[in-house]
Amino acid sequence: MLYENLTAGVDQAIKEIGFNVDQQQLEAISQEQDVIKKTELQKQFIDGILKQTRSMSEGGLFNRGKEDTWAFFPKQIMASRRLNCSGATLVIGRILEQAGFKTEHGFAAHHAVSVVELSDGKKYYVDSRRNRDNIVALGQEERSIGNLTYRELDHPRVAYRKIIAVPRQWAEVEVIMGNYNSMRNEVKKHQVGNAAHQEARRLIGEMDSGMSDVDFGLLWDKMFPEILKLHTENTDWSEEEKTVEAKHNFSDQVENAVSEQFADLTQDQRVVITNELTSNSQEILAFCQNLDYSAISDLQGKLSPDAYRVAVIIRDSLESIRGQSQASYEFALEELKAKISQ
Amino acid sequence: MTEENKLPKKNPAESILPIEDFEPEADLPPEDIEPVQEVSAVELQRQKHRLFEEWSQLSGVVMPRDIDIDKLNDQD
Repeated sequence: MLYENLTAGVDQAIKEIGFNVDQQQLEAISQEQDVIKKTELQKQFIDGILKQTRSMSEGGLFNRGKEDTWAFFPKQIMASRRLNCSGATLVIGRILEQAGFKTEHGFAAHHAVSVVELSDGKKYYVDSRRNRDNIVALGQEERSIGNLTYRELDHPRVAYRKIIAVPRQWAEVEVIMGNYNSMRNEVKKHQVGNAAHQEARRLIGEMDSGMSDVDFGLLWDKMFPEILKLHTENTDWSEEEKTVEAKHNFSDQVENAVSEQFADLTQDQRVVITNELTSNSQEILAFCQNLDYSAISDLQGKLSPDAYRVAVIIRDSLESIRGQSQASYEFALEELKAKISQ
Repeated sequence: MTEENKLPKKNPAESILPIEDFEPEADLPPEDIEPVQEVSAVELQRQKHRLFEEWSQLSGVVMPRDIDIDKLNDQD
């Protein structure tokens, strides 16, 4: 009942935002008889949807502060025209379901994704947050984790190793309740806080006039015991979370440092710096891996002072990760290489 | 203007950095999970009613009035 009502809200959001569902692509998929070609067409269709959801998500070196942290429920998705990863799974799951795909909700460590079965019979991890490596086949075998099952994800540039696929009918209700509870907790914990906390306070202020006595924490405990146990009792899952956190440290450090140092830049200035970094990407990569004087002076001669500062942030963050864990360093470097080879 | 600045503008969202991967997930993080509370069946039922009544604030769609509280979601 909650799910049906939620789905009606998601439908309204999809319509109001105006997602483009390419009917010609769907027709081509239905006509295709060859399994491999059909699967490729399906991936292209999904990628088209991901491009649209990604355009509503936070992202980019300088975009921190454009808050989409709480865009997980239809009313807020419509109001803000943004999506966090949970909100994106609601939209993606519904669009793909209506297009005839078998879809499930995917729990990844600290992240929400979709799991979609394609014509080749494989289940795929579908990630609304990534520009690339965002549709990846999962392992064939289902393994137990607590009372749930997961499939392995084995990709050198994707941090997640375990994806738990569950029916959207209950996972999406869980996601809404869990997110709302987190939003309340964040407000309690931070008197002032960052832009996300301030946005949470504003939303709670708008909504809690009616919901102040709804105990989302209690209801979440009682309605979703499998997820509670996963977070509180399962050592495999907590290991997965720790590994993913370590792998993301590099990006986190870079983003925090850049957003702190360049808070006052205009959007045009940000675009100029991003272009500068992109067009000198190979030199930056060499600079990050080679700490000798010639690499430093080479890059200093090529970049503006602001772009050079960003390169230094990247290098220092990478070095800091190397100090923590060689595996995390190698992962961060792979990510950096993948990005700058675009 | 430098040569680099004449290049077609790239969307900052497609930065060279793997920024898109580390959006903090707003799903219930472990530190937010409090010990399971003991609660009476009556209070739990009241909470479910309240959830049902206020759910439309989240979904943006008015809930039907003919409520069957035991079918709030498929798990329950």
